[in-house]
Amino acid sequence: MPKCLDVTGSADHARQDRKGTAIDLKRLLRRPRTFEGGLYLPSRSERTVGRPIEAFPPPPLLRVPMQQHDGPASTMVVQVGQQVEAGECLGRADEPGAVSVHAPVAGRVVAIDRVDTARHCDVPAVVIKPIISQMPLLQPDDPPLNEEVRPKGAVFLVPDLTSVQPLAQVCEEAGVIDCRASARGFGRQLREAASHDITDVIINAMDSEPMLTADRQLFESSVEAILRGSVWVRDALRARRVWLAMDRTDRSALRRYRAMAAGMPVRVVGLRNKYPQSASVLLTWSILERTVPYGRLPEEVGVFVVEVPTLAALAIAVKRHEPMTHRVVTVTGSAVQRPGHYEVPIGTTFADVLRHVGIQDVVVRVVDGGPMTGQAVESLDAVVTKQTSAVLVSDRNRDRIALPGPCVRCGWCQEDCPVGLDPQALLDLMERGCFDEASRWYPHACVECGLCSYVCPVELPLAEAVRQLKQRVAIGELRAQH
Amino acid sequence: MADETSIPLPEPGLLRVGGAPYWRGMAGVMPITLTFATATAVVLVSSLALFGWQAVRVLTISIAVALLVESVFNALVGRSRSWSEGQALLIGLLFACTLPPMVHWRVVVIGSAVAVLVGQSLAGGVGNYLWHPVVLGRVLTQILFHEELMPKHWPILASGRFFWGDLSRSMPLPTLWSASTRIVPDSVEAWRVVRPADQLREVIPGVTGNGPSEAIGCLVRDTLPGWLDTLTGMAGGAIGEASVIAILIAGLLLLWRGFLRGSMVFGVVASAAVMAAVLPVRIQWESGFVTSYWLPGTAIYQGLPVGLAYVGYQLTAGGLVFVTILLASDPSSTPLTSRGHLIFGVVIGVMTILLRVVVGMPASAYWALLFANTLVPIINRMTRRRVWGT
Repeated sequence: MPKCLDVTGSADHARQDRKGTAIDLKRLLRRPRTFEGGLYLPSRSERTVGRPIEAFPPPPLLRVPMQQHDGPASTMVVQVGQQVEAGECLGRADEPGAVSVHAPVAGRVVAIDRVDTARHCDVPAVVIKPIISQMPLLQPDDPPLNEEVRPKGAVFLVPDLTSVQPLAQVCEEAGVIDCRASARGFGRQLREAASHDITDVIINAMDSEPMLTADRQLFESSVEAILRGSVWVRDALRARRVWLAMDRTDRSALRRYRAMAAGMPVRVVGLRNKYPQSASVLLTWSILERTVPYGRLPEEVGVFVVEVPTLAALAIAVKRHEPMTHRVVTVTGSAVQRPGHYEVPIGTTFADVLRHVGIQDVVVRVVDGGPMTGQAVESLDAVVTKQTSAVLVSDRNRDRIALPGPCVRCGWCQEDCPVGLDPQALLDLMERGCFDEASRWYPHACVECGLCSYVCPVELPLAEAVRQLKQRVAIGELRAQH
Repeated sequence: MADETSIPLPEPGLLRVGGAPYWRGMAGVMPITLTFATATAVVLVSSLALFGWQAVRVLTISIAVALLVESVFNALVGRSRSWSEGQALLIGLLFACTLPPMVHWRVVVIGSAVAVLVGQSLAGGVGNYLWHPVVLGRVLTQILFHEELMPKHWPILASGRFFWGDLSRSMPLPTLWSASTRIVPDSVEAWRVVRPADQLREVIPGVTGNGPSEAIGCLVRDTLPGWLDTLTGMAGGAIGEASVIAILIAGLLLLWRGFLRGSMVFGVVASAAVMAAVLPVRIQWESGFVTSYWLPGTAIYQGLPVGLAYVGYQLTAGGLVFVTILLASDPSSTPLTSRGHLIFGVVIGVMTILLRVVVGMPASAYWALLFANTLVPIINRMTRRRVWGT
């Protein structure tokens, strides 16, 4: 177990890495390590894997929310009755940390309403009635479309990539977010990363969860653009190398990507697909063997982890001058008639999504996200946002309501936790309300993978308890382990 | 576009909500009680074959008393009948497996009642007890009824009389006969055998003029039963202890489900084998002297490694296999992590052989498990995982 790095000494490892660019035989031969804990989950992705991305026709009404990430909402700049073009700014990012929101299609603003998303309640939204009935797919590699079909939105300058400022500006103007469970604005993330000494950029091209295949499909359909986008990020942050994290079982894809990445400073790495390998602290460990200290971010050890949809949106923003208005989601589940990958405009209600893909059984649960880290929605009036990675629809037979029993102290939660927590102790502390003591058990190391609840033989709500504990417990100082 | 589906979209308020994850492992498919009950049932099949209706008698009394005691306690205390009902059934089943088939019913009643009452209910129910309830009950009955529980000869049904023979119509097994291959004469339905565990606790007779390896060789060849007998259960034992093969099959199920950890089994086997191979055996020569012979595992007699055979018997004799696989896989009384389970297994293996060889205690595996259960909080503290980044 390597010692965790002194936070102030992050420059040391950077200097060591830069010692030689010659071929390092030891590093070439060393296989990526896997972490302790974790579990190999069944992927259950047979219904959607390999399906090409389909365009999603604009629904009758789009309700575009002003807050689609973990940060302040943007300020609305349109009024009722106004005609908007595709890509026109609907919400401006006035406060620091806000992300601007743009119209996915051309239409007329018919109302200003409040809407629920999966992760935020009662968010102000712009209700747009689209004037066109179908839209082509947004592919990063294609040149900008003809003006009649898709009028230009905000015009972005081709960024000068010698510093992070122009790239971050483009991301902020295009409303690009970092597409993770707790999302932040990507421009802001780039700026914050530039203040650390970043040496490596990791692209997470693995499917983060079972049943989710959209990231792989998106990567597969636009490899060049995404790799180029990653190189822009690397240049802007003055990093040394880009690592592409892939599932090692797909050997033909690995070979193909290695061939495509030949001229670029991109290294393709095949990792074991043990859930949750795609958590950023675990990627940092498996590829670079650096441990992120408790309560800190990977940027502080010189690693910048970026997701595939973020890079796709970045490539679209730079190459086609279009903001982030769509999200490629995996729509799957036992109740879906036509599962697959759809490029859904933000603001589409889940009801419209289900009407388009068809349902084949009585629906009991609709989840925004994956089966392990998603969020179930209360009503189908909730909308798809930039943060939505998947829509899972399950029926009576496949869905289970958990009936928790008493803890049997089997220890499986601690055994399978990828970061070494003791979830049953944390559940106990949570139920007793001992939040001071809970901080000594380091709950903020949790990556919210959900494995503790998954393996629990009595179906205790362990992941939920740790999640709630994290909200109530400050990170606190790092103390010696008792 | 969407077809004319007859299935309507769900109304608001009819969708299931809650926190992630929405997938669960095998919890709903095969809950704990069902897993252990199935594993015990596999063992009970062999017990029924080997002991017939006498085993059913013990089982019935044990389960009935366990359920009764638990219901009465819950009613008195005001606890609603819920999950732990299945646990009392398991305790009754497993406790019956630790008893010889011909015990008096008062042994079963007292032991089962104590196991459920003290071991589980008073301790606070599932997940809150330190010692395995079955072990508590067994150890108490061992103290109170030690003569009944350790008879000189243990009965098993003869081949051809399985399942419906009468254990009381038995005859002693002649020396050098194998219980699984010999046919019993008419009017007799069972053999009375001497258990390997009983033989291994006593001194080994030696012939003056020959070496200690010869003594062990003669023990293995003449007195101890063959491997077929030992593995299938024809070498005698308690109801659930006899058939090693049935216990191992039950162990496979528990291993697959995750309750039995491979590290613990390895710990038990490795440590017990090392202790058995190293600890001295006492040999009584014809002159009356008793000497200690260290490292009996290295004994070689007529070119054959009889020392290893001796170690093999120590591993499969008595209750060690049963304790390891069915009792030490109980989640509530065992450590949390696999590293802890390794240490736990080592403690069980070491203590069993120590108690058997050095002290000569009967039912040594249960006392060893009791000792290991006591150490579990310490083991948990020692083997807690380190949180990422600390």
